[in-house]
Amino acid sequence: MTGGNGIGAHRPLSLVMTVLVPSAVGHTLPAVARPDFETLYDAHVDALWRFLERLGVPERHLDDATQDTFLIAHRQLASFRGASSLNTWLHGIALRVAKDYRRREARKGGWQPLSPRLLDEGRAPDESAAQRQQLTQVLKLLEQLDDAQRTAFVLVEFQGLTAPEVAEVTESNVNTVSTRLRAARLRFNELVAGLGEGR
Amino acid sequence: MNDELSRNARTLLDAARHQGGPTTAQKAKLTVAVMTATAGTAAAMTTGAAATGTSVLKLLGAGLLATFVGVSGTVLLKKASEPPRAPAPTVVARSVPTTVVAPPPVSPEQPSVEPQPIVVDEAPAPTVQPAPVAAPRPLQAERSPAEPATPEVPAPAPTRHATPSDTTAAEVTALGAALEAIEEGRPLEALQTARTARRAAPNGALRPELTVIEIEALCALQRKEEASELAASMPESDRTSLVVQRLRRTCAAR
Repeated sequence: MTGGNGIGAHRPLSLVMTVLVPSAVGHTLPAVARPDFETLYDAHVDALWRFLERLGVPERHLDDATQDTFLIAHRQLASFRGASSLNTWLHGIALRVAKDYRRREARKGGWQPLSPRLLDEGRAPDESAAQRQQLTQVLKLLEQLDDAQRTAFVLVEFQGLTAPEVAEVTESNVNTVSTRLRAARLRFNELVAGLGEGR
Repeated sequence: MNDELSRNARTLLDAARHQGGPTTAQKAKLTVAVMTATAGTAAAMTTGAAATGTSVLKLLGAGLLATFVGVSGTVLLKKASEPPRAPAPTVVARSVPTTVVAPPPVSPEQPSVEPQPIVVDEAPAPTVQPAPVAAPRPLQAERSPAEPATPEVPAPAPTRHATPSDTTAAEVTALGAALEAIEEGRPLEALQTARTARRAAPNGALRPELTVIEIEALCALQRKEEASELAASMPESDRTSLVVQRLRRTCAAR
């Protein structure tokens, strides 16, 4: 065998993912614009990780939770009918994964919403201490919202979803979402004001 | 009723909006884990899992590097309190919730990790098909069943022949570990990991990537001359775009 085994010539990861297109599973796909899984992963992995983080999945479980989200998405991609946007659909999966992790943690009695490591580790050096502190502060504030309010608030304020999209993700109606969002914003304002008073 | 965010709240949110997210190392590991798990499904979909596994693993290594290159510019702080990770490819020992294909034969050597399917009973629009739970597939499972565990003729070094899948799996693991070490400021460890893996498989699928990490580690250790020599020795066929992209940022850049 020669030193250059020619492997470098055929490396695109998309080749792997081409194999993963659900047609291989035997489903007959409806005519829905559906990206391949790799594209989906690349486009959403950071956002979904952050979403899970802001929903209170402990840092030590974020990789597993994100992985689970994408594995479920991979399995269900074939049945995605385009009734909602892919972004909304993925957030719906991630939301259920987050709930599942939080339930499991609560059962274990070891629920620690905010990792104590969050402040100091695993962050880029260009991410200043002040920025990290801001994130930690926000996560602490989010913990003080109730679950439904927090979900609506995070989906709108961080993930950029609209109220109707949040309604899809949370399987509730738009009015309910608007009410939760309003309450969440009021509460968040109070909490931020409280921060100022505490200084 | 005023349902808008106050100015202070908005400022705080705006500042925190893009904070967090996975670190480069976390993302690289996640990518390998997701691609391994989904590729396992693909391999089971098609026949010849062993053959597919080899190419999949090759590409996973490339994916790892692609992820790394893609998120360039992010350098990590050392995770001081994190215990050292086992060299085994833990990413594939993670439970895979469900797949739509029949699980591969379970060998008695499989890890005792209990798969914990994610609760999907609250799934909204997408239809959730109850599917059999596939057991996690360790990379070692890529070995052909016909492959003897030990060679019939006594050999001095290895206890059994490494199949291409074994080699690539080891390379993926080594590359992940070396990437993490270099990112977290442990260049000596990165150098040793990458060099050992590269020398163990001189024609390995991930040789170019391992070489680049080795060069980076040498640069970090102020051993520029060695780094330049190693870079110069890289055959042209190893200079894939991702490798070149990364190589350009080292002290051995031409």
